[in-house]
Amino acid sequence: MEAKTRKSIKRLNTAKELNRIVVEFYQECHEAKAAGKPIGWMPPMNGAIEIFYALDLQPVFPENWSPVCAAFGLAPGNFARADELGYSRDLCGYLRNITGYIHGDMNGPGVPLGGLPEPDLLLSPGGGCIPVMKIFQALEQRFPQAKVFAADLPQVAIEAIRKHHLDYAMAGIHRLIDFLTEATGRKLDYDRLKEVVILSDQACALWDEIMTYRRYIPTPFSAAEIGIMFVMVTRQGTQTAVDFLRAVRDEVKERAAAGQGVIENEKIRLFWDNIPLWYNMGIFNYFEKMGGVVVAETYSAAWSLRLDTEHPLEALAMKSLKSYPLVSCVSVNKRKEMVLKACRDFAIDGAILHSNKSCVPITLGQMDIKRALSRELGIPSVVIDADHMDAENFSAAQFETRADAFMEMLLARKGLS
Amino acid sequence: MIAAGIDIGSITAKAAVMRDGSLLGTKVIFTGYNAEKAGRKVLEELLGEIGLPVSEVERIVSTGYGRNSVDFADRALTEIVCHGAGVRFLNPGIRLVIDVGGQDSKAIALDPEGRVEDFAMNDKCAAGTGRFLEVMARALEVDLERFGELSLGADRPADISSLCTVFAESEVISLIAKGTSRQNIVAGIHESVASRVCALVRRLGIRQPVMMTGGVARNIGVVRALERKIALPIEVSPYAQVNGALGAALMAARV
Repeated sequence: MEAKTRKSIKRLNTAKELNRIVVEFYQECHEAKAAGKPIGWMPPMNGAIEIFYALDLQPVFPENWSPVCAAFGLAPGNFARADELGYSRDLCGYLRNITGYIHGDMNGPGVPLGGLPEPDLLLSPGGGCIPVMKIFQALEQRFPQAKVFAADLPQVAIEAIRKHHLDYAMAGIHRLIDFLTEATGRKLDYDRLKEVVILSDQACALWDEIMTYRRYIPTPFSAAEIGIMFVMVTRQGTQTAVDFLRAVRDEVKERAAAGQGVIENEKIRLFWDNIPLWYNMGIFNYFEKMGGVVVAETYSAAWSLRLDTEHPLEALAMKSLKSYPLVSCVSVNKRKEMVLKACRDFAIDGAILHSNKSCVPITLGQMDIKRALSRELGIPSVVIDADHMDAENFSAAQFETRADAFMEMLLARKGLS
Repeated sequence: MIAAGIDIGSITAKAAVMRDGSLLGTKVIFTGYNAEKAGRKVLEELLGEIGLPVSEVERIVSTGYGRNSVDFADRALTEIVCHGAGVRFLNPGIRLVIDVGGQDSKAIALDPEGRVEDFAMNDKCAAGTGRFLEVMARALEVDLERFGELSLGADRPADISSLCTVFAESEVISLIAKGTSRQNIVAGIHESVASRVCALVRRLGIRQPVMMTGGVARNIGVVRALERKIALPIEVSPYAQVNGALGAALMAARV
């Protein structure tokens, strides 16, 4: 029977190197703390990471820490603490995990990678979703000594971004730079910023390129390896990210050219919508026993935003406006368009719609997507009830029945059963 | 060829044996704790009744939640594909199967060739399944076999929530205390189950003709309530409860 929690099986050699990169990142965070380098906690993908690396400050990503907690089995303990603090069990799993974590022993012996170093700075740019903003309010209360930068980015659809939004976002970027200079005494070298923005853009270009190879049949790279997005969340703007992604790109390109798939006999190509199950990444391997590979997923679209490197500040301002709309602030029609396009581009046979108990914004629209996939592309989909962080909201037996039935149906449709 | 299907459900284990496309017999027993033992027992007992030795069974397919426990089966398939196959055998014209078992309900859309085109299953919990009816029948001290019949002819079915079986049970207890007639409470329970199942069917998309399978198809109260809600007649075969095993036997013959 499928386990409730399971690590994924990785086929890429470069994906196996990811462990080293993760360890090094957290080591760097702790070394920075020890050396007195200011630590800033922030949500991902809002243009602040580039400024931080340019100023030689240390960025830390609590949202990214949550999947680490899930993978290492720390989440249940954090949830229990969040319960005690009075947070509802219906709230976002990231919020429950982080609030529980920060009120426990953050760096104790049982905590992997040494945990997170306490923040000197807290950046809450708004945008995203309400729980993201609430997490930062909780952080503010927990770390009263940290200096807080709050912005109020508008939640505007990408296609609706106008000059006045950009002007507003630019003012925000300038205000952030001023805030950081005042808080840390460091002045921003704009040449260095340009270098960092170029590296960030290179990482995105490599990421986009890697994703295109997944169109090959058989696919050389599946959702089981999507952990590589770690560098896109934590290392955008660094040579580390570019070097790692280049190695991944080279390996994936070679596999694609050689016709080397994730499994021997790829029969069914699947698409996964919504956040992965961080406590059970092995679910992406589950379908392989019947020849199914998860070729593409919504979530990987969230990490790549190309930047106009000639105008670094404007590029970061644009990034700050666009980042959340990639996944959570996007209209149902846009989400539908993105999913349908991905299903066409990647020759998808069936879609798995993860109905995420604690993330309503990303789950919203799945019935419309299901209908559109069926009516416009003739692609069937199956709804799986689960949660991105809390394994208690995931029933392995219920998942198995639906996943097996879906695969049986897809194989029969293709005459492969 | 002699093929057998074994459907291990949460409450009952069913078996069906076919010879060259003709049904020889079916059997239902309680599953109990050990799914594998129940699988062996139901098949052995059925074979005993029809006078066939186990050695003559050439192919076996298992289905149901306990399908992977039946290690002597040649293949395990989900109930979705087995119920589809069973219904096709019973009435090839059927385009929508509503299967309500002990712990789940399913709506299965069949294409004109009888293949599964799409399906939907109950989300989150067991309100709207046989388990709900079982719990309520016990709370009301009514024999489960009579439960459906008792619901017919109620003048004012009680309004009972369909979010959670356990919560609904507490509502029933409080209705009893308030003096609501037993018949109206029973009718309300049936309306609640039908309401959950109907929502599932609507999500999949209503099509006809419709057949209901699974143990709850034997409950006339649910069948009638569901017919009213989807505004279509629902065919129920005498083989409704064993349809999964029947379909499994048909799939075994194809393996």
